[in-house]
This record gives sequence, C-alpha cells and structure tokens, in this order.
Amino acid sequence: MSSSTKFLTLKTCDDKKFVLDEAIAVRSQTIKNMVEDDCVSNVIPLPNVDSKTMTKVIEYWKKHSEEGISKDMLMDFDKAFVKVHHSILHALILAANFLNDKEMLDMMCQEVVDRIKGKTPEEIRKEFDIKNDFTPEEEEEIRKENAWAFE
Amino acid sequence: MADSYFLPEILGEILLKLPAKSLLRFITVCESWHSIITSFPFISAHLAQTPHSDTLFVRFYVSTSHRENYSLFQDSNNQPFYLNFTLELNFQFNCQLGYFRIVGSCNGIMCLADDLFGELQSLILWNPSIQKFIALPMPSIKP
Repeated sequence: MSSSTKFLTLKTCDDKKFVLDEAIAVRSQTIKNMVEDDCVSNVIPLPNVDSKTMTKVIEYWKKHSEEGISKDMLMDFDKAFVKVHHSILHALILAANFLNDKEMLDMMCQEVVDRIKGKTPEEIRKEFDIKNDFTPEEEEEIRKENAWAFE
Repeated sequence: MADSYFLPEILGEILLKLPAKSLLRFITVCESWHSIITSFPFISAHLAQTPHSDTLFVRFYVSTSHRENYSLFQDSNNQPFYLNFTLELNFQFNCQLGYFRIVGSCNGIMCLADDLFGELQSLILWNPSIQKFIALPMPSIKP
C-alpha cells in the first residue's frame, strides 16, 4: 500500500456524499477510468445510484478489500449480503452495472438466477411485471413442445 | 416498477446463467424472452459459458427387458471409488435389435446408430438436456 492514502468523494443522486479510500473505490471500473483519465477534480457524481444502495455497495467493497480476510469468511459475507428484498437486489444490480464492478454484478445476477430458476412463466411475469404478448394458442403450442420442462 | 425491469444486457447475463430446463419454460414468458432464448447467438453463448463439469454420462443395458438406461453421474475427487447419481435421462428411442451404438458426442449432442448387427437401421442426433432429437434420413446408397 502506498503511504499517502488518497480519498475520493462520491456524490449520489440524492445529494449524499461518501468519502472513500481511492484504493477501494477503484473496484468500480467506471470510477477507475475517471481517475486514470484525470477527470476527478473534487467530487464524483453518481447520478444513477442512491445513498441507500451506495451504502450497501461500499459495505461490500470494504469487506472485499479487508486484508487477511479468509475465503470462507468472504463466502459467508456474500451469502448474507445477497439475502435482501428483491427491490434492493434490483437496485444493487443496476448500481453494480453502472459502476462496472463485474464481480459484484456476477454475484447479484447469480442470486436472481437462484431465485427464479424453479419458477413458472406466470410467476416470472408477475415478479418482473412482464406482459404476456402471446395468444393463448401460441403459448399452448410452445408449451406442448417442451411439456417435460413444466413437470 | 418500470416497463423493462432489467436492462437488456443484464437480462442477458441472467438468462445465460439459467439451466436449460428453466429456459425451456421461460420461452413462454413473452415474445422478447422467446426471441432471445431461441436465438443462435444466445444458444452459442450459453454453451460457451457452461462450465466443464465432472459429470459422467453412463449407459447400461438390461438385456431381459431390452431397455437402455442413460444417466448422469457426478464424479468426485474426494471419493475416488464413488459416483454420485444425478439424473436419469428420458430415453425415448427403440432399437430394432440390441442397443444403440454411441457414435460420439459434440457440444452436448449425442449421435446414436442402430447398426449393431451390420446394417444401419437408424441414425439419431439427440440433445438430452432439452430432450429433443432428429432422426437423420437414411442414405440411399449402401456401402
């Protein structure tokens, strides 16, 4: 670690400011690019992320930057971290995508996968608020082709 | 909730991680999910990111009932003399005599030939993970 720790100030869309060690903040590829391009004068605006979500993201970043933390401890942390209401999970995915943190995005997407893989199409539509634009005949036709997948 | 719950690239990430059986159900969710999941680029990407696992494909033949059984077993490094039963595959073909010869496999597709006693009776391409198959047309010229 360098002796002179640099700090960055991040500003979320609800005007909250977070002061964070640069070495941690650059887990975000988006922030890293801004730092490398030298376009961070004082405050980095994060127009797509609110403070509640950013607090969770920083909690994750800090844990994953802790020195000497064991793999098992991180796994337990991750497991607990993703056990949130789906509106929070959704906000975290959008934030991870905007901040371009591939590791975090992968983990959150995997959690969505684990939550939906056993569901029926009806449950998926309800959960994601998707309109069924098939005619009943079309839907029946496609269902019949893969009837075993519905067992 | 907004019109599209997930950005297209995130929806793609999520769908890619789903097992084949879930995807077959989810093609009926709506037209856009249908067109993503059944598209060639998606299928290739799904195959490419499927991790190489320690799954073994095991076939056994019961001669008294003339039944072929195909199953998947999980090999484990911790237990060298033990295989963990995972799944029995639904095998829907009938061989004229005996059992099919496994010609080979490629990208999860099995090629089976009914030619145990010389003459080729049928040739099948079988994708067990989506339970679909095609019988190839027989060549009109015999060797």
